Amino acid sequence: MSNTKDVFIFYQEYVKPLYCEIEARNNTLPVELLFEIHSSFDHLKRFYVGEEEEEVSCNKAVSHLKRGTLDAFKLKLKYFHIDLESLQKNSIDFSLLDNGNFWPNLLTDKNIVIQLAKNARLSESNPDPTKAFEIWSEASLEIDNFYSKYLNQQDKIDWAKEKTFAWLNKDTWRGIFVGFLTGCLSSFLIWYLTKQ
Amino acid sequence: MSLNSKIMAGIERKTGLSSAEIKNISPGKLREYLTKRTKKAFFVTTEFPEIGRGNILRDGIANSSEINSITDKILGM
Repeated sequence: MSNTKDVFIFYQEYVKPLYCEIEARNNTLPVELLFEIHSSFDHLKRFYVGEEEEEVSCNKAVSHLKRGTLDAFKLKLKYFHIDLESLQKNSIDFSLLDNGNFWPNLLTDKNIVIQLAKNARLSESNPDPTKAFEIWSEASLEIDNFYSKYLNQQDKIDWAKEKTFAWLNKDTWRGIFVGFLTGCLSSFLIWYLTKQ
Repeated sequence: MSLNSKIMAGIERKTGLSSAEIKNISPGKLREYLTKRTKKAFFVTTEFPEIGRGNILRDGIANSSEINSITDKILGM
């Protein structure tokens, strides 16, 4: 980054959309993401108000913005993990879906996401930060695919939830109630017929 | 220099805004829009220590109306 315009282009093309994605999930924005913009702005100030050279200020400013974008990718991974955990806690019989292939496929695709994210994390120590950004981008795309293939299939999941066998559900209680009532009525009938 | 087009398409789907709108909307207008869309109040949260290299907000989270109510209380309003 040799000039301030490049820094603002980076902000517009990468930071704004990725922050927007995080914000749109739950209408929240982590303060740590805002701190990176704060720090970036402070570096730009050093060129305009201080005595730092433009290129130096811009490089430092953009490195904070890059860190912010990597943090946004990490949050996306965190939210993916939370949503997957919540699906697992539902005790749904996923073998009912896709001829029993839903869960095995989900686990395979989950491992792809995790592997890409691991590679991305490891590449963060690389002197060239664009490498980490590229791999995080791939992980991010896989997360999007994962949502569309599994986590956003709400109709399917609801259907499987409905069909999942459970020892105690509303049908069991209904059966117990009807059985109890039938027992009482037949006992009464027998008592009534035999009392004479 | 621009974000991967597939990632951008995903963001457009999630936000309901086009790429150009995302790039040009002001933070205030975006917040207004997302508040209507999500039907939730906007919160500044903390995700430390997952991200960030230091954090001053250790007491939890507060939304804008709560912050105002705290200020109003200090001012006796």
